[in-house]
Amino acid sequence: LQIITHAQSGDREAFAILFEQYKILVYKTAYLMLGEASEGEDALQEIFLQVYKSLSGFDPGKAKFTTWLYRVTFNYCLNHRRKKRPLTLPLEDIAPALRSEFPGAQLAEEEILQQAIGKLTDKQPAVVILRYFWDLPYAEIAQILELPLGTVKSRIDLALKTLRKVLKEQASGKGSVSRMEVCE
Amino acid sequence: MKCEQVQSLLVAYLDGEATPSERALMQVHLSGCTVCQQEFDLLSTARSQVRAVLQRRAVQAIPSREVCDFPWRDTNFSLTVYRGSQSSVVSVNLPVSEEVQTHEEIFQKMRTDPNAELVGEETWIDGRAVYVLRSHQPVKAILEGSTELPMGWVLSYFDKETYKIVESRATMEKDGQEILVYSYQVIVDEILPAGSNVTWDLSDLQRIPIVDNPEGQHVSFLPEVLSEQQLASRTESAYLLQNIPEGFTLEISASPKQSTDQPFAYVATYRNEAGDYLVLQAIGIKEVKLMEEGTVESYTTARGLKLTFMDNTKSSSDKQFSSAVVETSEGAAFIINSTLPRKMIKELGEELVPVR
Repeated sequence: LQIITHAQSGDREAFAILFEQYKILVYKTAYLMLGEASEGEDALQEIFLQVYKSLSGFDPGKAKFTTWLYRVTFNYCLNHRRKKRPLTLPLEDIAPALRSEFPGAQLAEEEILQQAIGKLTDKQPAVVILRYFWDLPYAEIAQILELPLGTVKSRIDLALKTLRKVLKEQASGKGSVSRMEVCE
Repeated sequence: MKCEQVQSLLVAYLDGEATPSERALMQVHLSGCTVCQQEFDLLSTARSQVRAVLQRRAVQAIPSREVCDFPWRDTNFSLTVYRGSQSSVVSVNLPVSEEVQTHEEIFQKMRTDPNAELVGEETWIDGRAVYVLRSHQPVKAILEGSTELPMGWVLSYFDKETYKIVESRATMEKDGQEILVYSYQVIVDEILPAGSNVTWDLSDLQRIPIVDNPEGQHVSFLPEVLSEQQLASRTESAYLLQNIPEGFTLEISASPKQSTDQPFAYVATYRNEAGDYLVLQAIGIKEVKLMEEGTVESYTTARGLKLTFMDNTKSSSDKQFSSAVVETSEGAAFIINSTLPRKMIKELGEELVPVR
């Protein structure tokens, strides 16, 4: 906390320490959200620039630093995704979208899942990443995404059930995906 | 518990987020319901797979070295301190105001201004107690290269004991954002003998490059000394005494980078070794308020300059002190502050001529 206070008062060395401590958190989150290494790197720079500028607005009395940092990171990624893909598929459409009309081009379950996660909309991928990558409890996810606890619960539920549906369809042979989509 | 209810809680249950009573009820249900048990197994597998996929993707994800060096290489990030040369102007602020008005009187006058408000008192870390005054007023700002006077907020901090201003900050709003126009703090307040050299030791500013900038491209707010010719080349409305009085010297000073749409502001200081002085200060257009307050005598010179002497009853007893407002027929105005007798100022007023 002392480092954060120093960084807040403009101490560049303290900020450098913060960067070292949290660059992996920010980078991996952004990479998982955005899907490409180059985008993750851009995000890392942009997000820390924002952190540098707005660190004075962080109130240690109100939230943990990581909560605040995750929030800044997701806000950036959600905006970025929105700009990049203005037309995202509604959650219900994901499974059919992954289905191919060309059987025989089977994909590994993991690749299917990966694509399915990538096609989740709005804050769905955020809850999946926070819960199943960073292992955060629901309450903290709710704080980060500024959502009611019940909403977090229902979103995780829906996301996991959707992903399960994708896997089930794939297992029963319906869920093959064309090569075109793989290369997308 | 019904199947529907159980299935809506399965994910939370797997995540360890179900309440203890929910857990107990679900365990009972799951042990006797194959449909829900099957759903539970499928979700459990999906959950493990999601975890595995995310872990596998992120495990190789390491930002490149180049990116990690980022904030400390970017020039936009760094702060550079430009150190200008010491201003060679000997006396820009003569102790005139101190003789006419004490610091306390200035403070009282400022706080009764309708645009100002006393917002509080503070005690600083060094123990000094200060009054905080906020006023809404024009703020001199350099916007896109030109000097302007937009309305802004000025916070002034007055020492509670001496009533001297010890800190000031001015902000203005532009495009919906608050911008800091200037901020200064008085660390030392000393009168040094003329010609004293002040060395700024900035070695405690670590990692901040300090660039000496005697030419003043970056440091350009300190007044500079001008010759008569230079003054004439800057403005056509300047006035000076035709001849420098015997035993006196003249120094002309002005702020650099003045706006061209405002009258050129400068100060001409005539002084002698005995400590007498006459300071002529261009204030641009006539300020009506000044004229109404306690004037005692008007005098018009042969060249048509109107001198209005102010009532200086507050001058210290041992030293005579006069001030007057000078107006030209074109409407330009000046202030004269002097230790010379009023009679002599009138005589010198006759010698005031436009600088060509």
